[in-house]
Amino acid sequence: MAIEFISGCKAAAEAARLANVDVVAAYPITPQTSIVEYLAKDVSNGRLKAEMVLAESEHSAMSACVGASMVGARAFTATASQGLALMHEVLFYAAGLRLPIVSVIVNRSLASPVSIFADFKDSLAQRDTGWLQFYVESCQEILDSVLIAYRVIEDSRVLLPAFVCMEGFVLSHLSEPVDVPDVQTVSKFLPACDPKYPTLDLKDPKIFNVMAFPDTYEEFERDKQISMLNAFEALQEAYQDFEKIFGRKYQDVETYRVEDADIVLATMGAAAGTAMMVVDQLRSLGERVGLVKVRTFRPFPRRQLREILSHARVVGVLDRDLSIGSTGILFQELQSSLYNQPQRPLMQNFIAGLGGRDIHQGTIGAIFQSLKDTLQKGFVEKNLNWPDENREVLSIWGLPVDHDD
Amino acid sequence: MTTNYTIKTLPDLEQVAPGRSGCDGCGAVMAARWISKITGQSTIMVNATGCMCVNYGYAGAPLHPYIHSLFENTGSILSGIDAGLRALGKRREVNLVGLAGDGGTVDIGFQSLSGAVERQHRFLYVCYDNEGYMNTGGQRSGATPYGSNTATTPVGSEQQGEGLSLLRRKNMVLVMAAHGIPYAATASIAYPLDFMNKVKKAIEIDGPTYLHVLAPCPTSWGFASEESVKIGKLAVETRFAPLYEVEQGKKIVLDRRRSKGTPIIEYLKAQKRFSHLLKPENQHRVDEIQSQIDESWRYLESLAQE
Amino acid sequence: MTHPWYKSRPFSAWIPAGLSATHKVGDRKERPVVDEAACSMCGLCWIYCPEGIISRDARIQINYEYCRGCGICIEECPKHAISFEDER
Ligand SMILES: Cc1ncc(C[n+]2csc(CCOP(=O)(O)OP(=O)(O)O)c2C)c(N)n1
Ligand code: SF4
Ligand code: SF4
Ligand code: SF4
Repeated sequence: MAIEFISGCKAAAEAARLANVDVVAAYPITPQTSIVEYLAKDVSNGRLKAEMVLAESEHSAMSACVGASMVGARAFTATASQGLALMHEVLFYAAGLRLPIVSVIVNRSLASPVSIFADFKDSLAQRDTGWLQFYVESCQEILDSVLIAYRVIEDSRVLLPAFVCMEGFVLSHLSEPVDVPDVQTVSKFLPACDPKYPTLDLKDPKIFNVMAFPDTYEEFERDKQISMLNAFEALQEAYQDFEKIFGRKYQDVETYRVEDADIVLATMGAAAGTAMMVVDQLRSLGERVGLVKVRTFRPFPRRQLREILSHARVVGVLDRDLSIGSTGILFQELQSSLYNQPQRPLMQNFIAGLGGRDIHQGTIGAIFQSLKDTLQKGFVEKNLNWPDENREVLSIWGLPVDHDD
Repeated sequence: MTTNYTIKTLPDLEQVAPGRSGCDGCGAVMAARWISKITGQSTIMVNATGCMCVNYGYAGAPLHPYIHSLFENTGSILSGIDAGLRALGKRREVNLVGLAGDGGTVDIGFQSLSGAVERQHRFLYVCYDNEGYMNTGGQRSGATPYGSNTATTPVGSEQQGEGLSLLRRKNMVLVMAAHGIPYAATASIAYPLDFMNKVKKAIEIDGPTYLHVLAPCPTSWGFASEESVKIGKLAVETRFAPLYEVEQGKKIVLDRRRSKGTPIIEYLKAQKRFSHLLKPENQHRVDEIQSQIDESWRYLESLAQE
Repeated sequence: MTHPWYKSRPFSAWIPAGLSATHKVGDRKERPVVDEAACSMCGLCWIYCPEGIISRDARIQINYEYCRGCGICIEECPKHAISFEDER
C-alpha cells in the first residue's frame, strides 16, 4: 500500500487496473476523459493487460462492454452526462442480461443549456434501468467503491451492473491523498473474474435475449428486483471484508451525529463533507442536528433509513437534482420510504448545486435554519425550496421567487 | 487458401434446427442457414432486431451460441465479443458472425458497424437485404429501391411509391470497402454456392469482413413463396443487384457472366411492390430505373478494370 | 407459455439452442413428393429448402413434420422430380 496524491479520475482508473479488468470500452467526454486516458497509458506500458475498445460512441462503448461480458470477460467503462444519456437503451439490455459491468459516472449536467459541471441528473435519470448506484464523497471512496462494486455484482445473488458516481470536477479533478493498495491485497478481496451467469459458450450453446410474453415478463423484472435487494446482504459482507483487509469502513447509509438529532439533513455525494462541518458548528451552539449520507442509491436502503430516521422530527433532503415537474429525486425516495412509519417526520426538499453551483456552508446553514423553523411551526410551509437561488436572474426573467409544488 | 465448395463437398451437418417461425419461402432464413453451415459449430452469432431475431432467434433455430443484440448495436456487440475473447485467449476458437437486416445495417446500425470495422475487429458481418423494415410491417428503409410501394411510401394520387432514394440505393458494399477492410462482397440467395464460398473466404480472414446478400421477401415484395430463388436470380441478371467482391478496398472482381443485362422490367413486373410502375403513365419511371441501373453497372465495370 | 427451463435464476432470457425443433410447423395445403426415378441427386432441393429439412443420404427425403409447403424445392428442381400432392 502506498499513499498517493491523486485525482478522482486517477483513483477510478487505478481501481479498474487493480480489478484487473479484461476489457475497457469507452468514449471521451468531459469530465470523465482522463479515466480512459490513464487506463490507455496503463495498457500501453503493460501495467494492465486488457483490451481497449475505443468505441465510436457511448452507445457502442456500453454495447462492447455487453459483448465482452457475454463471453465472460470483466468489463469496465466510464462516462458522464450526454454520454450516459446516449447509453440509456443499452443500460436496460445489460441489466436484463445480468451482466456485472462497472461504469464510473463522473456526474455532469445535461444540455440544454450546456453545462460541463456537476449535478446528479445524468445518473439519476438512469435509476430505473436495473443498475446499482453508489455515490461517493472522496477520491479514496471512488477507488474503494469500484472494487466493492465488482465484488458485489459478480456475486451470484446479485448479477447486475453498477455505477460508481462522483461529481464532475468536485471530485474528478480534485487531488487527495489516496491509499492505493497492491494487486496481491486486492486479490484477497476481489477474486479473479469467474462468471456466475450464462455466457455465449460454445460448449453449452444458448440463444440470448429472446422474447418474454406477458406470462413471464413480470417475473423477469421481479427477479431483478430480488437480486437488487440481495445486494444489501452482499454489500454488508463486502464492507466487513473490506474493513478487515483495508481498514476502511463503508456503509450503505452513513450517519453523522443523528442519534439524538431532532433535525436531520439527508444528501448524497460531496455535499456531505460540507454539511458535516455545518452540523459541527450547529452542535457547538447546542442545536440537535445530524446528517445522513446515502451512499447506496440503488438498491435504495429503505429499511436502514427508516431505522436511522425513526426519531427525527424534521428531515430535510438536499437534492443535487430535480425531477422537473415533481421534486428532487432523493426526496421522493426518502419520503416514500418513511410514509408508512407510525411517527413520520416532517419533510422538506432543498434543491441546490445544479449545473455545478457550489454548495457552500452558508447554503447548508440556511437549510438547517429553515428546518428549524419548520420544527418550531410544526408543519411544512414549503415542500420544495431553492436555498441558493440566484434572485437577480429570477427577477430579470420575472420568475416567482416563492412558489411551491 | 483452400478450394471452393461444390454442392457435393458442402457439409451435411446443419447448424440450424428446423421449426423456425415466419413466412414461407423467406430468403433471409436461407442465408442464415447457409452462413452457419460454413462457419460451423464454433459460430457465435450476433443478430440485430428484425425478422431474423424473431423468426430464427426467438424461435430457437440456431444450434450455436447466439445473441439477439439491440437494433443498432450489432457492430459494437461484435467488437466487445472480439475484445473479450482476445482478452481471455479464446479468440481462435470462435467464428464470430454478425447478422442484420438492411435497416439494422445501412440505417440505424451504420455507425456501430463502421466503428467496428474501422477498429479492425475480427468478424464476418452479413447484411440480409430485404429492402425494407419488414419485421415492423414493410416500411421503407435506406435500402428500399426507388418506386417501391411500401407501408410508408404507399402509392397514392400524389405519390408513386418510394421517391426519396435518388434512384439508386446506398451502395453498402462500396461504403464498407471504402473503409479499407480486407473483404467485402455482394451475394444473392439465388446462388447458394457462390454465397457460401464467400462466407468461407471471409471467415478465414483475420479482420473485419462484410457480405451483403439480397434476400427476397415474398411477403413484402409481393410474389409467391416458391419464387424467392427466381426473384433473386432476376435481380442479378438484370444488374439490379450485381455480384462482386472487393478485396482490401481496392481490387474489384465483378461477375459479368451472371449479370447478363436482362431488362429491368422483367424484375419489376414479377413483384407487386412495383406493379404501379407498369401503368403507361409510369413508363418514364421504368426508363429512369433502367438508365440508373445501366449507369451503376458502367461504374462498377470501370472499377473492375485493372 | 411458461418455459420448463426457466428453472435457475438469475435468469437472462435465454433458451437452449435448437429449441425450435419442438415446434412441428409442418402445416401445409400440399406436400412435395419426390419421384426417385426422375431424381438425379443433384442436391439443389437439399440446399435451397429454407427450412433445411431435406436430407440427401442415399436418396432425397423430406421431413414432413417441418415442411411448410413453400414450393421452392419443386420450383428449383432441374429434373422436375418433385411435385405437390394434396394433403387431406
Ligand atoms: C431503436 C429501435 N427502433 C425501432 C425498433 C423497431 N424495429 C424493430 S425491427 C425493425 C425493422 C427492422 O428492419 P431490418 O433491419 O431491415 O430487418 P428486417 O425486419 O427487414 O428483417 C424496427 C424498425 C427497435 N426495435 N429499436
Ligand atoms: S417478412 Fe420477409 S424477411 Fe420477414 S420473415 Fe417474412 S419473408 Fe422473411
Ligand atoms: S433437385 Fe430434383 S433432381 Fe436434384 S436432388 Fe432434388 S429432387 Fe433430385
Ligand atoms: S416445400 Fe419448401 S419447406 Fe417443404 S421441402 Fe420443399 S423447400 Fe422445403
